Amino acid sequence: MINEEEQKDRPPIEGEGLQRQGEGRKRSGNPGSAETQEKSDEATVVRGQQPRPEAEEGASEQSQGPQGPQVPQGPQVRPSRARTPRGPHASLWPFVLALAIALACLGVVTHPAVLVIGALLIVVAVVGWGLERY
Amino acid sequence: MATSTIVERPALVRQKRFSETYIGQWLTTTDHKKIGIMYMVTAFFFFVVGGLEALLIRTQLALPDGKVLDPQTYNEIFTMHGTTMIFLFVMPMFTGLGNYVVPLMIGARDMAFPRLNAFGYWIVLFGGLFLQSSFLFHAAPDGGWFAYAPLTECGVQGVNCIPATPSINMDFWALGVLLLGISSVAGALNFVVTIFKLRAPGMTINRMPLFVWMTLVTSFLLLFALPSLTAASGLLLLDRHLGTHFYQAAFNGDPLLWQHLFWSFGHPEVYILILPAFGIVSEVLPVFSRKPIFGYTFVAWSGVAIGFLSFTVWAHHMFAVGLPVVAQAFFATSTTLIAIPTAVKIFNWLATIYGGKLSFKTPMLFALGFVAMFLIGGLNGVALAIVPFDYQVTDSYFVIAHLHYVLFGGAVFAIFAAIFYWFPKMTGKLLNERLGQIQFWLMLIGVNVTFFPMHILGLLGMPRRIYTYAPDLGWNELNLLETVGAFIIAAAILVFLFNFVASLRQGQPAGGDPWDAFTLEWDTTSPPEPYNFKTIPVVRSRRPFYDKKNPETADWKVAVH
Repeated sequence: MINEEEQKDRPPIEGEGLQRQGEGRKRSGNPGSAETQEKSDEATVVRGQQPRPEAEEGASEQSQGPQGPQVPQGPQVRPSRARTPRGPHASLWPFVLALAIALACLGVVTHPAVLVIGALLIVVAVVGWGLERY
Repeated sequence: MATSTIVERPALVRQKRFSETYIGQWLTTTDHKKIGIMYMVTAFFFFVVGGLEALLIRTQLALPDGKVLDPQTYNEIFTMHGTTMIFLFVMPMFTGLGNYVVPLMIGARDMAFPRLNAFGYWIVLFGGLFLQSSFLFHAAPDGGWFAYAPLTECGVQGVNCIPATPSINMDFWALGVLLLGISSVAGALNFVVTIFKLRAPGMTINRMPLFVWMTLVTSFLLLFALPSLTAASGLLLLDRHLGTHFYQAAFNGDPLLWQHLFWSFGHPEVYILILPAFGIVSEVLPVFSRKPIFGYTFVAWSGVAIGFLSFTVWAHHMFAVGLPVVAQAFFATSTTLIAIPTAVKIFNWLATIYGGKLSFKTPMLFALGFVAMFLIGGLNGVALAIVPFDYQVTDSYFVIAHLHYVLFGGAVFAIFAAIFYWFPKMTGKLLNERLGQIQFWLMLIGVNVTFFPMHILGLLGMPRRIYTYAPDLGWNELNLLETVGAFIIAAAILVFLFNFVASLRQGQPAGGDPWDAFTLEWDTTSPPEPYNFKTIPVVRSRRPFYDKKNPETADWKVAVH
């Protein structure tokens, strides 16, 4: 599923940037009470239960509010380079599997040989899709 | 002799992967926007195919004793017209629009299952090609888009079963709809999970855009309605090839079983085809009226009510088969009941535009055209719910008038509203406004000239699916008029195609927000980056982009939600 797969590459939500960057500091071994606060802030926003007021008036991509994005209260951290988000990985297997199923159906109404080719291709596509690594 | 040593240097430029070539990008894409565009282009291709089939039908019926097509070809053409328009145009078009717009509207980066999404598209393409390839085998389906068994199974001669449609025509149909069903289930699952799991922070269910709401309801309808069609088609294939007789009374089958199974899919299917249109209109009308939608909660939940009720009305397609009186009363009542939530929507749309600062741009014209045409289709639908009236006009051209007002006047008008509204989002360019208005008026005139006389022809007794008619029945002029109307619609579509190509090449740049819109899909570049939003927006009301542009009068400050 996209949210699990893309978790690593997910850039911050509005107003979340500093917390996520702070995450790096957490991993490098800087635990403390601020970290606990960070963690709970992030969880609140990611789950989407109750957006933080500071983040809400922040601008996203195209236009910003009159006062620009507001930085949420939190620990002072060193800004780091934001990772460029990316879309899901490309894959040829959905195409191959769909072609194989259609070929098998065509085989049902035309010639058994086409059905066999379609069935074999279905097996190849399912295995290929299942074993695909990124 | 001089010698020299060539030192191999490591290549600085690596070879392109297949997925990075132009063709490879499209074949392997899992980006919801590209998949959405592929869905829409494919659906429009099949719309043109289905439209050409419609023109053939109308040309055949333009004059009495028509001989443009032979009877067998005519049967194939009207069967494929219905099948193509429903399964290969309207459904994939809404799936494509949903694919493109829903993740953007809810602030997500993609659909929940990107590869399943790609698979769903490719199945539609190959399923469509599979169905249309039947013409190459001179075996296009010829039993109507509803494929009534036992007529598609076998006839009885003594103790033997004689195939009623011995060729592979209806096998193409049954396998084709099975294939397309796989795609619909894949798409519906993806929409449900995406909408429930990937909404931006703050976007609660009651803040979702109405198009997202209607896509969600439609997805549930698909998940619950399609198994019935799949089962029916599977049983039909078993009857045709393995000697079972689920539908043949002479062999202890039930001749009405097909109709019950088919229509318990078929009537929810009508709402599968129209609920996304309701969603589109509920997005377009407020933007071009400069007001929030009136009665958001009612508009959203009336869609849910329609979804539930749509499973209780299927037998109104079967009043003439001899249902028990109690069943007739039940299905007549439930059919009439479904008019209530539908009317709730229409009144809310009217209240939305009432007192608004209306801007009659092309998307707005198509949305208003939708309301008017769908209202006619809804009202004559209520007339068909009245059992004695239905007896009189069942299987007549009155029914054709009804379904075309709903599906062409309704769904197709909404599709064009959506195309004109979201084209700038997808391409960064505007469709030409003047050509759009010409197309709208041609379509409005064409639809009414084509389909309104069908009411009268139905009342005069002209049966549907008829190959030709005698010149002394009083149907000549109206049939000719309908054919003229069909060609006016074709002219409108040509205007659109010209507009589309010209605007794509030399269209006016749209800017980021050409309509001063309200919802999140406009809160990113046009066209959007592959990842949609660099930062995921946070939502506090039903009009998040409006809030951002108007912080002083933001909905969350002035309205109670």
